[in-house]
Parts: sequence; C-alpha cells; structure tokens
Amino acid sequence: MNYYIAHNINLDSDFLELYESSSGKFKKVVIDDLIDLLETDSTFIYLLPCSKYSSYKYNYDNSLTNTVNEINFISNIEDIVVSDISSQKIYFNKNEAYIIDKNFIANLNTFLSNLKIIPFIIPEHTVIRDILGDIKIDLGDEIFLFNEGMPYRLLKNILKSNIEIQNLSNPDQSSSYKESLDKSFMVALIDKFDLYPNFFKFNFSLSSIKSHLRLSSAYISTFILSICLILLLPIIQTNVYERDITKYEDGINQIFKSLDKNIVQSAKPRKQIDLLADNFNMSQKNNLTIPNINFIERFGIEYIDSIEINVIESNANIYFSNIPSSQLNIFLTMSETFNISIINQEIDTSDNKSTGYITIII
Amino acid sequence: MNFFSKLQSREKLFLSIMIFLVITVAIYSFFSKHLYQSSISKTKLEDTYSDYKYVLNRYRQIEKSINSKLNSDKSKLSASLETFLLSKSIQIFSIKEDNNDLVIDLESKNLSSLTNIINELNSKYDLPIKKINFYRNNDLIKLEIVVD
Repeated sequence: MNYYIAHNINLDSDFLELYESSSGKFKKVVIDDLIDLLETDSTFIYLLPCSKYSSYKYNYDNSLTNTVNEINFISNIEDIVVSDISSQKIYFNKNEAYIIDKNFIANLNTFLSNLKIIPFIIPEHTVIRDILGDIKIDLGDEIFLFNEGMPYRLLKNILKSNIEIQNLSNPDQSSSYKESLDKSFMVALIDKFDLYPNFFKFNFSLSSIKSHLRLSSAYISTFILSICLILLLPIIQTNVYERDITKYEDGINQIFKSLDKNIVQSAKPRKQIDLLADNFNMSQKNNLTIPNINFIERFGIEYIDSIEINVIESNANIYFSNIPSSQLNIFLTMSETFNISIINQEIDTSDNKSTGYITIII
Repeated sequence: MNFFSKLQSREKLFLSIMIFLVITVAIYSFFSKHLYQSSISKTKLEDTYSDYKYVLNRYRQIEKSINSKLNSDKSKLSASLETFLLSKSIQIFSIKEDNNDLVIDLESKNLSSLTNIINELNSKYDLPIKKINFYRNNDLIKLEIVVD
C-alpha cells in the first residue's frame, strides 16, 4: 500500500509538503491537487499544525461518559479559551485534550471524505514528541517548540519583540525541518501512525458515499429510477387493470344494447343475460366443427384438387394429383401429429408422383 | 441546513433516524396501499372478464337462436348470409337455391380464411350444412357450402 504524509511547513503558504512512501520523495503541492495526486485506496496522513488546535493537560476519567468528561473539561478551561466553546470540537487522547474549530475540522473531514483514500488527521506534536522528543524545529518563518509538554508554533517576527519567549525558543538551538522531518521520520511515522489520535471522521454525504462506493452518476440515476419504477408499478398496474375493466364493461354494455336499446344494464350481467335468454329457444340443432385442414397448405396446396367434407357421414375426402411420393409419405406419416385419422386411401404412384384421394374422419 | 449543523451529534443521529423511519413508513404505506388497490383491481378485472365471456357466449346462443328462424325461409337466410359475408374479406362467387338447398360459393387465396368463415357461420347461424367442398381454381380456392 502506498502512504502519503502531508505537513504544513508555513501556515501562510498554500503549499503542503507531501511525502510519498513508494517513491520516498518530498514535493510541494496545493491542497486541491491532492484529488489528482493521491493514488486510490492509499493511506493519507495529514499532520495537523498545532496552531490549528489547542492542547491541554486533562486526566480523562474512564468511569464517566465522554459527555461528562467534555463538561468537566470545559468547566476547567472556560476562563482561558477566548472563542465560543460551542464552536469548538473536543478530542481526548490519554492525558491530553484538544479543542479545534468545528467548521475547520468539518470542512477538512468533508474534503478528505470525498477522496478515494484512507485518511488520518493526526495532531503534529504527538508524532514529533514521540519520534523526535522535546525538539525545536525551524520551519522557516515559524519555530515549532514544546513548552511544559505543550506544542507551539511561533512566528519569528514576534520572537524578536518578546525576550521572554526568545529565551525559550532560541533559533540557534533549533534544527531545520528538512533535517528533522526527513525520510526516516516519515518511515517511523508510517510504522505506527495508527497509535496516534485521529481527528478524521467520515462525513456521510451523497458525494462521499458515491466516491467511496465507486458509483457513477449513471448507476445512481438508474438506481433511483428503478426505485421509482418499483414504487410506481402498483399504480401503473392498477391503471392497466382499470382500463381493461372499463373495456370489458363497455363490451358487456354493447352486447345488451345490441339486444335491446332500452335495456339498463344491472350490476349482475350474468343474471340479466340469463333472464333475456329465457325468452329464446337455446337448443342447438346443428353444431359443426371443421377439422384441422389448414395443415394441407404446408404440404403444398398446389397438388390438392379438392376437399369434400361430408357432414352427415362425418368424413372428408382429399383429392390430389401428381404430388411427389416422398412428400405424400411425409404427410401420411405425420397425419397423426395433426390429429388426423385416415380411414381410407386410393393412391396410384408412377415416376415418383402420386395421384388419388384419402378419406379422413372429421 | 444551518439548523441541522448547529445540532449536537446525538441530536443529529436521533433526527436522522427519525427522518429515515418516517420516510420508510411513508414509502411502505404508499406502496402497500397501492399494492392492495392493485390486488382489488385484478380481482375485479378477473370477475368482469369472466362476466364478459359468459354474456358473450349467451349472446351468441341468443343470436344463433334468432338466426335459426331464418332456416325455414331460404330467401331471407340468403339475404342475411350475404350481408354477413360482405363484411368479410373474401369474395362471394354466388349464393343461390338449388333443389331446395342453399348453395354458397366463395373464393379466397388461402384455405385458412375459408375455414374461419365456416366456423364463424357455424357460431352465428344454426345452419343444417350437408356438404362442404373445396376446389382449387388456379391460384384461388373455391368453397362450396350446401345448406339443407
């Protein structure tokens, strides 16, 4: 897996120092470039500058809930925090507590959630203290240092006008960031990055879910359309049924109208038609069913001279002439397939041509 | 949206669950209501179709009963048959009386249309048919029906 570690060297600059584990190289990038730069499914570690959050010593009481610990922590620091505490997000880690602007961390989480990566947001001082110890780092315009275990980033311009802090953060005793935050530092961080506090929280939104599930717009549109269709299916089906009901009711109505124009159709059409039918003699004297003779067309109607159906004797004579014998044999063999019973046949065959007639039952 | 962002995370979770439940119940109610209506419509359609078939069958019986009265009067039967056959896509060659029989001569290009005509005549009229003869006449097929 490829690892990326991003770090703000100078807060005033838009550039991030980005380390890539596969190449082992550093490069300066703008945050928006990360969308194209980061490899899919890689691990991205962002070292959050300590000036973006405040660190406090706080003994987390495991016997209490997180909410109660937050309340206790706020009551301890309320007097020293300048900004509105409700606009701050609180994190606990071991014997430290961190407060960070809610909007800032939310925007960062939203941005990273939309990337196809595994992100970590780690407060920088926890890593520096663990790997490099109590160190002063020259970041160019700023100095990073620890004072009583708490991290600070101080502008060099301010240092010159404040002797008290100047003694504390003598730039001569600091090492440059290129020496301190070098490749060996990054390799050490990659080995145990999951041991540090992680401020990242996945931001559930349509775009982030879409990005992580690799869903295309076409797929989502099809999915939504399918759901809508499933929901609308009973309505469509009901309309189709209602249309057919109207069609059949109209048909029934027309039948009644054709029998009597003045008739009013009742709710019970069966009973009504039965009452009408009682006025007629319904006995069927003649009921003829024509046998299935359409199959003859398939065998060649051009060889058939005539078909005589005798209704009284319930049989039919089929006369043919000069039909190829092979064709006639197929017909005679397959006659049972067409439910045709041959009871008599008179056939003369010469030169593979047959002439004569067959009698079938109808 | 601003209101939602100001809420505590547990309130957001609770609200999200409630919205999800409300939407789920609404979709379920909507779907089940229309599914039920669809089921009722289907049953009604089956009943109506069954009624239609029954009424149509009884109508054909009544029609056949009315037309059977024409059997005793060949000229009226001939006129009625001509009117019926003219509405069909076949050629009427002739309808004439011969030795107290009614002989109907029709022509068509295929056998199946002629057999269909015989079946339709049979369902509409109570004809005492004596003979049915098919003759091939070049490309056409001639049908002769002899009614007693």
